[in-house]
Amino acid sequence: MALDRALLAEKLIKYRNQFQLTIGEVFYATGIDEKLLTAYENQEKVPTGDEILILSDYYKCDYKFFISNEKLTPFEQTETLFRRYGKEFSKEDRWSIQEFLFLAECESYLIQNLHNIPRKIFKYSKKSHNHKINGINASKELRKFLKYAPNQVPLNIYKDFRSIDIKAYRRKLSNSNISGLYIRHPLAGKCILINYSEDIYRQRFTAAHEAAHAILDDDEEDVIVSFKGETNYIEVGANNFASHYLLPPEFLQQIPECHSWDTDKALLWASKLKVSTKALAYALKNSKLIDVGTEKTIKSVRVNRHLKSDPELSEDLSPNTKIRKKFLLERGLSSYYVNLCFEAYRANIITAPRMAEMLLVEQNELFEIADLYGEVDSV
Amino acid sequence: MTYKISPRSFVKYNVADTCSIWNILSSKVLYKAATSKASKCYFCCTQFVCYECLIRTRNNQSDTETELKRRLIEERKRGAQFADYPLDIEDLQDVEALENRRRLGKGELSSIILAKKTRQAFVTDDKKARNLAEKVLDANMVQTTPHLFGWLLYSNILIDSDKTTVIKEHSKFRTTNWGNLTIFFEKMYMKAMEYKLMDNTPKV
Repeated sequence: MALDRALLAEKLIKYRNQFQLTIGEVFYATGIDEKLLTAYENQEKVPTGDEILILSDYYKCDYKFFISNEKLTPFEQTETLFRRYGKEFSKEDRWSIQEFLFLAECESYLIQNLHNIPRKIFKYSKKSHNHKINGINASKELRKFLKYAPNQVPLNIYKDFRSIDIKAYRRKLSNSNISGLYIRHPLAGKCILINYSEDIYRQRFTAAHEAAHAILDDDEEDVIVSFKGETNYIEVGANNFASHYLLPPEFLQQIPECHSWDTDKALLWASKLKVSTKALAYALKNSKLIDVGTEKTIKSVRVNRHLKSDPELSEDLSPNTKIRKKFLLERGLSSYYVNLCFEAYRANIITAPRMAEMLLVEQNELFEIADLYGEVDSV
Repeated sequence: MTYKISPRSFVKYNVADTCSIWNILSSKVLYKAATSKASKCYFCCTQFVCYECLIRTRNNQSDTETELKRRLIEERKRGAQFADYPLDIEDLQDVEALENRRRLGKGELSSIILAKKTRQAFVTDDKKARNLAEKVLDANMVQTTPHLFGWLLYSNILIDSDKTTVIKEHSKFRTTNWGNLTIFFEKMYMKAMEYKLMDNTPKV
């Protein structure tokens, strides 16, 4: 297959621009001479096969993208995202998003090849033009679909959303105004990113909010970024979904003396339900269980962050293990994803170096992760 | 790592992937013996593997990694070992390469392609990579660091007392169970001794 030099050059230029890089920076990271990089972009020369591998490793993409004459398919979503919200994403955040999509693509490949992983398809058909009603109804249908009793509260919502094939990741984003984002990826499908810089409880709400976009808005938008305090109709629908999913009115009505609240009770129930007092107050108010004054009282206190536990970090872990797993989680590597990689390794689907690539780590770090997860199978 | 591999023979011209480069360099005694005039083994690598070993940014580089890196740079400077060679784009367009690209690390993939193209052996210490490589290359063209160790012992280039030193030197670089080749060195040592005994016992 003859390589289209012009198309390859375009891809190289677009990637460099997307990450706001100079030729010098690409040289520093890849070791490929600056003159050569310029010549490749000017279509004067063609990279070696290894240089293609190096560039695909650096940009976290499939090398086939560079050497085939395919158009820019895997590229379009990030291009749309950065074009539409360019100023909102720092260089660092752009890399975080690229790595998140890389992890999602790897997850998708592993799921397809590990046949024992159950995945349910949840499809919600909008029955109303009202976004709020759609949000509420979708949350009810999903809860029913996942076999939750009306008064049951989901605690590990990341697990819930992954079970309906939403690729859910948490990573630190430097822009604190961004809570999360949703991307429909051509290969990985529905992907959501939650800003790990936010409070643990807030992250849960964001996860449910982004999942709402994946469920309610996937036929309209490929890319949605959620900013704090946004109130447009799409966001209203997603907020209502999140609120009803995490805090179903049927449950709220069963809280003892559900009309009467003080700050201690607010802190107790916010902790039990793993939501912020703000989210709890809104849900109680929307269920017509409290008045404006009580809403203010509940919102006036906050659960101490040291008392909040992460649903993806088991309470049974030793302090050291918890720190190490938290460090991985901050980089998007949840125990779910790490275990998926090891399972694929055991099933001979991937090799150890490929697993290191999928975990975005070097060989030595892979050995340490294996140790951390109690994996005994050696080389 | 199972050993159907015989320590009686070892292909001398090799394309090494990243993990095998670090393993070969982890023991000075093993490396010196492997590249001595008596053994005449030669190791090269792909341009990608060179990037993976020396250029790619690491999050937290440990002292042991720095030391291995220093050894590799030194050997490359001396010009005798670990020269890097690039593949062509057409090599990556090969159907086999495309089919395996999601299963293998890029370093392994490029090394297998180069080994096949230049008719050299592929040396790797990852058993899954070895299994996949054996579908592309002849089984005797896929080798490991413990295999090299066994052959050096069988050929008397390494002696009995070197075993402990090699394992000790290697283990200094492997603090976890994963990636530590000690048990495979031990198994290869036994096999080499067994073969030596069989081959040197006069037949009645």
